[in-house]
Amino acid sequence: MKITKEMKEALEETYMPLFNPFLPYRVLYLATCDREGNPNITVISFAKVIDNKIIIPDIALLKSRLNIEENPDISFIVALYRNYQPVGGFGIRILHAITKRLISIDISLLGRIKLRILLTLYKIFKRFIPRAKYKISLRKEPKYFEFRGKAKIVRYGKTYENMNKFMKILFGKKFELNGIVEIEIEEIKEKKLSDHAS
Amino acid sequence: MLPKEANILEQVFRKRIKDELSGIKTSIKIDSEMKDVLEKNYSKNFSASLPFRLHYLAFRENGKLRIIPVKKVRVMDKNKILVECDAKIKGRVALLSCVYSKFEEENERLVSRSLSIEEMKGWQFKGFAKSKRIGKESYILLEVDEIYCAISGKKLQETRERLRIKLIQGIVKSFFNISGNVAIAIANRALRKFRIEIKGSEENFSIKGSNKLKKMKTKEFNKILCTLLKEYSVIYGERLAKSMTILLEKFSENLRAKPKKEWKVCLK
Repeated sequence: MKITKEMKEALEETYMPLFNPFLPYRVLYLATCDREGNPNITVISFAKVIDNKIIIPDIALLKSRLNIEENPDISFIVALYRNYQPVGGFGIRILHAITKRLISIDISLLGRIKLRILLTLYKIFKRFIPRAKYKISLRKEPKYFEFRGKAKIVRYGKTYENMNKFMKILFGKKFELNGIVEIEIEEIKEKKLSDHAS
Repeated sequence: MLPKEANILEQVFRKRIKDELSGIKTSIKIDSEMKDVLEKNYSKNFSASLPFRLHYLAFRENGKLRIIPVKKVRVMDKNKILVECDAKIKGRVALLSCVYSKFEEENERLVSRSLSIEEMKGWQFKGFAKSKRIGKESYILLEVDEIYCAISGKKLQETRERLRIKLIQGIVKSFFNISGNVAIAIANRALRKFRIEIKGSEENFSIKGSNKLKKMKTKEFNKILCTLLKEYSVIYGERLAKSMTILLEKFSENLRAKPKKEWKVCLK
């Protein structure tokens, strides 16, 4: 199974919570189960896709780590919400020239007023951050992606070291990553995300 | 049973009880704060500065682990939750309910799980589920036996029965070096037959019947075990007989008893 560009964007993109109420919020949940089949869900806030594998840093993954060591079967979900509604409609995507971060601002496809707001936002951004790359895009129907596969804990190697370096930038030099969770995808389910959040 | 083994068993018992009982409640009660997170209607909050809530359900379907978003849940009893869900579920499930709020944080904060405590609150409810139909809608009835904090992952509440099963699981794993549902079921039954009771609270606990276990001779112990296994083979059928035989061998290895004849579980 291959992770598409759309899935990769949903997994990796950073959604900057600055402008209400047009901003999406992304949720990542990891479900694991032990040898006896008792499931457990963990909230994840960061994931990366490398060589068609999902990489999650092991930050306070207590029960999940134990479960993966016992049973590698996992299920992973990514969904985007805008307040209580799933994300859809127009959006500006900004690739920041300095931080190399991709930031998304989404506005639902309802009326001209919102389109005007989007254009105003685009002008403001363009004025204050002229070096960034901008792209106005139309989001497709809101969905969530469910990934199923085998996971393992990795505590060495290039991917681990890169992730450790990245975490040190965020949390300081003293921070040492316990390990990374490497997920090999076996099955991907793509489903419409109706109004689940309330 | 040899006194040495009985002592080890008792030590394992005591350690596990102390570990398991520290800081948790041994009964389940979905309190008003949890009920609020589970049932309250957040849909009118149109601003991102106001909270919104999400429910996610993890379960096993045809042996495969799945996680799905859930629309609505309702608290039925102090330990029962009705979940609106189309999937046919039977067995153990985990329901995660979280309320997200305050998005005025910096970009980096989203990356950190440990730092995002103020942004969300929630609980994870674990228990056994049964599918139910009310009119045209499909539901599952979740009987909660464990409650965890969604952020720290700390266990907050657990029923005594679940605790007992877990204790036995732990004992079987650490003492006999075996795992699996059959082993646990047999060990559970064996402990009941020996009339061992775990009583007490975090500070003060006692194990009833451990002296009886110490005094018991190997022959007597094996006899009881044999009867138990026979009972189980009648209940569960032939496919378990093989694993039971292996189990029995492991039991006797641990007891350092020299079996006079080879163990074999027969069906009657």
